[in-house]
Amino acid sequence: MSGAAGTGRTPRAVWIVLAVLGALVVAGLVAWPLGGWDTVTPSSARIPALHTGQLHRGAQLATRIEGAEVGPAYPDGRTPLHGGRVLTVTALVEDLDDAPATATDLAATIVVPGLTAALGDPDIRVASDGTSMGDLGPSVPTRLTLSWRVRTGAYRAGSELELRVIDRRPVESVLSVGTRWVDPRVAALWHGTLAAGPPATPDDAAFGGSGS
Amino acid sequence: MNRVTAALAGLGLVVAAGLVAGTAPAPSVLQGPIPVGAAVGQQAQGRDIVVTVQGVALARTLRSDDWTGAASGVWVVVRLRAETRLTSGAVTGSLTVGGRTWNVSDRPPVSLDQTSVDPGLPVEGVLAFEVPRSALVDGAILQLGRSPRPQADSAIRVRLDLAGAPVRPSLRVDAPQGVGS
Repeated sequence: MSGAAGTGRTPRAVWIVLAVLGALVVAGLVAWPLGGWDTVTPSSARIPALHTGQLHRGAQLATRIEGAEVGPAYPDGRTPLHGGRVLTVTALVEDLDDAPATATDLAATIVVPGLTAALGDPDIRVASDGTSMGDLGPSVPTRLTLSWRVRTGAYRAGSELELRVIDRRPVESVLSVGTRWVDPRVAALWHGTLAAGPPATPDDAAFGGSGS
Repeated sequence: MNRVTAALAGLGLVVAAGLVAGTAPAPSVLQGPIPVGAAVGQQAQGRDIVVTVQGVALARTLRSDDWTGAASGVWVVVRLRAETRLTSGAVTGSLTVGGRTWNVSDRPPVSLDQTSVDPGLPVEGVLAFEVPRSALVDGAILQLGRSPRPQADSAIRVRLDLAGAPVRPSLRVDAPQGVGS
């Protein structure tokens, strides 16, 4: 006899097998209370789809996207002061909280990927009369238009558009009285086809709208 | 001072610190509004505001010269006389019912909160709140001040009884107008 067997020592291969088995046992014990090992879909791929007209209820706002369009003017016919075109999303929004949702809250609720950071907050108006939307009070569902100025050619009628509906969680404000909404996350994805927006009003087109 | 005395003294200081911490005003009290109560028709005076709520009306639609606005719920329209005492600026407010709060609506272009009110020069105008029908109850609290939620500043508070008040189909609202003092 020769080698490990001859000297009475345990062969190295046996230790390796034992180490692997031990690791599997430990992994199994760790996984047991967590529900076991399974093939899962990453959470980022599980963002629910939001269909046109479907209601999404977040912690602060309920949102129902009704459509999107792109054209030369804002819904009231004004044209962008500094040129470009206008991408407008129409949505029914309701404040589910006890306190008013600010214009900042509303502006951060629907995001066009890759657009908002570049061109700023949307122009938010009440769809029925075109007045600028300030705070949205609780339990008053309101149809809003959110309009972004976009670069000419960046979006075309008939093309596909993705919108992200953002949800946040409330925390008590420290520096002031009330609630702050923090930790934004994508809560739903809307996909739809861009319609053609309204034409510009001739008088406004000559001088340019405020765009804000 | 022996050890027992020192321990008792230390324990007493801990209890005293606990009492101080436990009875300290909450941040909402320290930073919140300083309420001044009033009734409809009664003049109320705060640090930088003098107001008299003259009346309240409810309507489904408001209209002015070049604007018509339908409410998803109901418009609560407050007619008031207001002036500031120290500085020029807006007079605005909020309406609280059952823990829910609505700020003055920006929609009516003739809203008083879109006008700068000057010291000693009273104006009469309207503030409108867009609320759901479920908010039409007695005991609504109208809060008026230099901002919707005054912090460490006066807030005029007026109780409004909205239950059973008639809701008009349409109501005309006019731009603020100055009045003789």
